[in-house]
Amino acid sequence: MDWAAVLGAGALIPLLNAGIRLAMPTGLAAVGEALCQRAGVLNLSLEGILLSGALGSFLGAYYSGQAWIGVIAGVGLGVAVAALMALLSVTFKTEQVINGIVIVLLAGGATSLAYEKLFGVTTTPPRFDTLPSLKIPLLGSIPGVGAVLFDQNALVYISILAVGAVWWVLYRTRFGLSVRAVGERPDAADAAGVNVDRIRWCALLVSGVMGGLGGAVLIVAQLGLFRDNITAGRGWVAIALVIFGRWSPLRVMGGALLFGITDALQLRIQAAGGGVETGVPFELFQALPYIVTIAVVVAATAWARDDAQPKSLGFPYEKEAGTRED
Amino acid sequence: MTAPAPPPAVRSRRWKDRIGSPVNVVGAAAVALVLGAGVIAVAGGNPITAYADIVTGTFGSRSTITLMLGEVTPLLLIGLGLAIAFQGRVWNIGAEGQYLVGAVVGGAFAILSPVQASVVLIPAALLVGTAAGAAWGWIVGKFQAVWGVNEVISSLLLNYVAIFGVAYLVRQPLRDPDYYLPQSKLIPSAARLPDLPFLDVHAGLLIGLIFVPVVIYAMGRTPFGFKVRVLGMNRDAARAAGIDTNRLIVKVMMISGGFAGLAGIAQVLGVESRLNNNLDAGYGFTAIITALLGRMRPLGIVLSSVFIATITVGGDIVQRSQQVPRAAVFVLQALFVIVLLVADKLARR
Amino acid sequence: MKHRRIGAIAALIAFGVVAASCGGDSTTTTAAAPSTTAAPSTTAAEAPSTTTAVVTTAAAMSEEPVKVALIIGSPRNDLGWSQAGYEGVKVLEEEGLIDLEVVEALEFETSAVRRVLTPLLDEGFDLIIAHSFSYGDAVMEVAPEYPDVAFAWAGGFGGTAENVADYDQPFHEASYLAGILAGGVSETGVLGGTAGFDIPVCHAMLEGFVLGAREVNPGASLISTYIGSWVDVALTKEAVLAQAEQGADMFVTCGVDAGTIEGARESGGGVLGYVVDQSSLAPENIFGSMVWNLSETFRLMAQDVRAGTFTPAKFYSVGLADNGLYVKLNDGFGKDIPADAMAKYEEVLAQVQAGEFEIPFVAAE
Repeated sequence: MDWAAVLGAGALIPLLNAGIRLAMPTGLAAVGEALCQRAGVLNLSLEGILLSGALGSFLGAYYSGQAWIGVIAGVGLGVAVAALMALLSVTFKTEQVINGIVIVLLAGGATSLAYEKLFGVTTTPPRFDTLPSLKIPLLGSIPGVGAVLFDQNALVYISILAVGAVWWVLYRTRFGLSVRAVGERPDAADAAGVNVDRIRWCALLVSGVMGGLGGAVLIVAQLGLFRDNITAGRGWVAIALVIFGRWSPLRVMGGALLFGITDALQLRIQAAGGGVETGVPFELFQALPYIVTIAVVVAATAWARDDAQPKSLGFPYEKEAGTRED
Repeated sequence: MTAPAPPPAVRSRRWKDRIGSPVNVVGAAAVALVLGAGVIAVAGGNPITAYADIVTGTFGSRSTITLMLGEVTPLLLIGLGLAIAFQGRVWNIGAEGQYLVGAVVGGAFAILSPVQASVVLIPAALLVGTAAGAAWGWIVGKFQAVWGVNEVISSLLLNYVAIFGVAYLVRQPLRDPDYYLPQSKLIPSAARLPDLPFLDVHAGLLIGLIFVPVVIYAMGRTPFGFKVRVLGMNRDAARAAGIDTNRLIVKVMMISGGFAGLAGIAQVLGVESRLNNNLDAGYGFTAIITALLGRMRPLGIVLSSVFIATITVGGDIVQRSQQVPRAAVFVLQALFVIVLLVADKLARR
Repeated sequence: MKHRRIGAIAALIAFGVVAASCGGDSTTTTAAAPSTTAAPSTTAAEAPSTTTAVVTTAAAMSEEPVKVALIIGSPRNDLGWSQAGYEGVKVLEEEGLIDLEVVEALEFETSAVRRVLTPLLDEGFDLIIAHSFSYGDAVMEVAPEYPDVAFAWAGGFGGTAENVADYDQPFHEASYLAGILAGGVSETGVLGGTAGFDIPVCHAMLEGFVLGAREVNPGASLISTYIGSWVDVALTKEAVLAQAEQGADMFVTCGVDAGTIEGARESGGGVLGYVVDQSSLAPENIFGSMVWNLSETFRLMAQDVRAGTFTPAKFYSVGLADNGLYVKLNDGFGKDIPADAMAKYEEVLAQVQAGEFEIPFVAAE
C-alpha cells in the first residue's frame, strides 16, 4: 500500500482533523465523567446522556433552525438524564452500576420512541446543515498548525474552552476541592462541613452538561441528522478513557485524541488497501483503537504505580445513622 | 495512604429493619408505574392491560414459560459469577466478552473435535468454553495484579476486542466453506445439550441451578468467600490483614469469566445452533442488572433472573398485544427495574 | 452489545406517511425504462409485463386475504433493510392481498428470534416472513412442526426447505448498473464503497459497482471500507472522507447509508442511494438510488400461498429484470452524466431485462 497516502505531508493535516472530530464527542463526555468520578460517583449512564444530548440537540436545532438552540437543548436533555442518575445514586443511594446500565436502556428506548413518534416512517428523514468551520484570523493561516487548531467550527472552540473550564473548576476552585475531598474521604469531608450529597449532585450535573455537549457536537457540528443509537457506544469508550486519563481532565482529553486519531488512521490504512495487500483482517483495524487504548493504559499504569482512583468511587455515602441529607 | 471503611455491599441487618416504610415503597412503585403508563399511552397502547399482559402473557402458556426459562439460563449463570466479583467489588463489566469467547472457543471445539460421542463431547465442550471465558477474565485480573490496570477499563475494552475477534473467526478460519454467510458449520448433534425432562429447556438451566447452592456455600462457608467479602469492604484493609489481594482478584476474575464462558457455551450448545456474528445478545450486560438486583446473593439472583426474563418475554408479547413500538417496551422494562431498585432500597431504610 | 441494538419502531400512525411515500411516486427519471419505474402499488393491470405471476386485481379481491406476519430485526423506520421489507408488505396490505402484522425482534440471535416467532406459530398465520439472513436457523428449526404454515427468510442463496422459502437480495445488479454511470461521472476513476461488515450481499454490491464502472472506464478502481458497525454514522462519514482524500469521488454503500451520504455531500462526491429513494437527503450528490422493491417478491409468495403452490418452497429471486429492484435516477444530481455512460446504462438495462446478460456476482475472495 501507499503509505504516503496515509502519513505523507499532505495527508497528515486531514488525519489530525479527522482525529479531532472523532475525539470531540467522546472526549467531552469523558472529561465530565472524570469530574463526576472524582466526586466518587461511577456514572455508567454516560451513553444515555450522550444519546439524549444528541436527540435534544437535533430537535432543538431542527425545529428552531438555530445551532445554538440545539446546543442548549442537547445540554438540557443531558442534564435531565444526569439528574435522574443523581436522584437514584445520590438521593436514593441505589447501586450506581445498575442505575447507570438501566438509564442507558431507558434512554435508548425513549430516544427511539420520541424520534419515531415525531417523524414516523419516512424516506425523507429530517436533517439540517451542520456548522461551517470558523477560521480564526491570522492564527488560522499558520501553515500546518493553523489548519488543525484554528480552522474548526465554533463548537470545537467552545468544547476546548469547556474542557479547560472543567480542569479549572476541579483544581482551582473551592467546589473542585470539595469534589476531590468527597471522592477520597467523604466522611472527612462531611465532618469538615461539606455537604457530600450536594457536591455529588452537582458533579453529576456537570457530567450531564459535558455529555449533552458531546452529543450536541456530534449532531450539530458533524452530522445534522439523528438515527437510533447514533452515539454507537461512545459513552462506554468515554468511561474507559477516564481511567485511561487517570481521572485528570486534560489527560482524559489526550486519551480521547489518541483514540480518535487511531480510528482516523485505521480508516485511512483500510482505504489505502493496507488490509487487502497484507492479508491483515480488517477486523483488526476496527479493533485497533481499543487495543491501542488498552496498551497505553497498561504502559501508563505500569509507569506510574500510584493509585489515582478516587477512594470512594462507586460507594454511596451514608452517614452512620443512615439518614439522608439535603 | 489510609482509606475509610466504606459500608460493606451486603449488609445484614435485623429482619425488622428491612421492612422499612411500606408507604415509601408503594409511593416509589406508584410514581414509576404512572410514568410507564404515560409512555404506553403516548406509544398508542392501553397502559392497564399492558401491565397485565407482561405477566399473564409470559405465564399464560407453556411455550412462553419455556421461552422465559430459556432467558433465565444465561442470566443466572453469568449473574452468579458476577455476584462473586461484585461482592469483592471487582467491577467486571466484561462478562459480554467472556461470554462470547466461551461461546466461540467452546463451539469451535465441539465442531472440530475428533471424538463425537455425547458423553465425552458435551462435558468437554462445556469445560473448554468455561476455561476460555476464565482465560479472558484472567487477562483482566492479571493486568490489575501486575500493573494495577483498573478492571473496568480492561474488561470493557476487551468486550470490543472479543466482538471483532469473533467477527474475524466466523468470517475466515471457522467459516463453513460450503455456505454463503459468514458463519460456522452447525454444532454436531452429538454436542447439542439435551432438553430437561418435561420441559423444552436445555440442560444449561439445571447447571445454573446446581451452582446456586455451590456458590452459597463457597461464599458463606469457605475462607475464599470470606476473603472476597473482606476485599469488597476495603482493599487496603484486606491487604493489611494478610490477604494476597492481587492473587485473589485474578482468581475472582477467572471465576467470574468462567461462569460467563459457561453461559456462552451452554447457549451455543443448547440454543444457537452455530457460531456467527449474532452471538453478542447483551446477556453480559443484562446479567449485571440481575446480579445487583439479586443483591449479589445466589437465591436473589434466581429471583431477579426470573424477573428480568419475565419482562423480556412479556415485553415481546406487549409489543404485539398493544401494538406499540418495541422501544416503548424498553422504556417500560427500565422503569420496572428502577421501581424495584428504589422500592428495595426504601424497604431497607 | 445490546445497547447498540436498542431501537425504535413506527406505530400505525405512520401509516399515512408510508402510503404517501411508497405510493405513486411521480418524480420523473431520466433514463429508467417504464418497467423499472412502475410504482410498487400499481394494480396488476398496469404492472410491468416482466413480472410473471401477477394475478388480476379482481381475482385477488374475491378471495380471503393471506394472513402474513413480518419479523424485522431493526426498526421499521431504519431507512434501510427493514423499512424496505415493511413497505413491501404494506403495499400488499393496501391492495387487500394480505392481512398484516409486523413484529420487531430488534435482535438477531436465535434466542431472540424464538421469542417473537414462537407466539406467532399457533395463531393461524398463513405466511411468516423472517426478514433477515440471520433468521434461517430459527425458522428451519420450527418449520417441520408446522407444515401448514408457509415460512420465508432472507437467506439470499437458495436455502429452502419443504415449507421454507428463501428470497434474494440481488443488490449487486443495481449496483453494477449504477456503477456504469459512476464510472462515467468519476473524474479520478476511483470509487469508494462502505458496508457495516463484509457479508456476501454487501461484498458483491461493492464489487459490482466497480465492475459496472469498468464498462466505461476500464481503469476504474475501488476503495472499500468495512466500518464494523451498522449504526455508527459519524465513523462512516469519516471513512468516506478518508476515501475522498485518497481520490474517491463516487460512492456506493451497503447498509451504512446515512454516514456515506453525509460524507459524499461534504467531499462533493456523488453517491448511490440505498434501498429506498434517498434523493431528498442530498439532492446535489445522489445521482440515483437503488430501490429494493420487495412488494414484488412478497406478492409472488402470497399468491403461491393462496394458490396452494407454495410447497415445495422456492427460492424467490426477483431482480432487476423483474422489477424486484431498480435504479431510480435523480434529476437534481449536480454533475453531468456523460452521454456514452448513459447509453451504456440503457444498453445493459435492456439486455438484463431481455434476459441476455447476467450481471456477475463477486463473492468474497
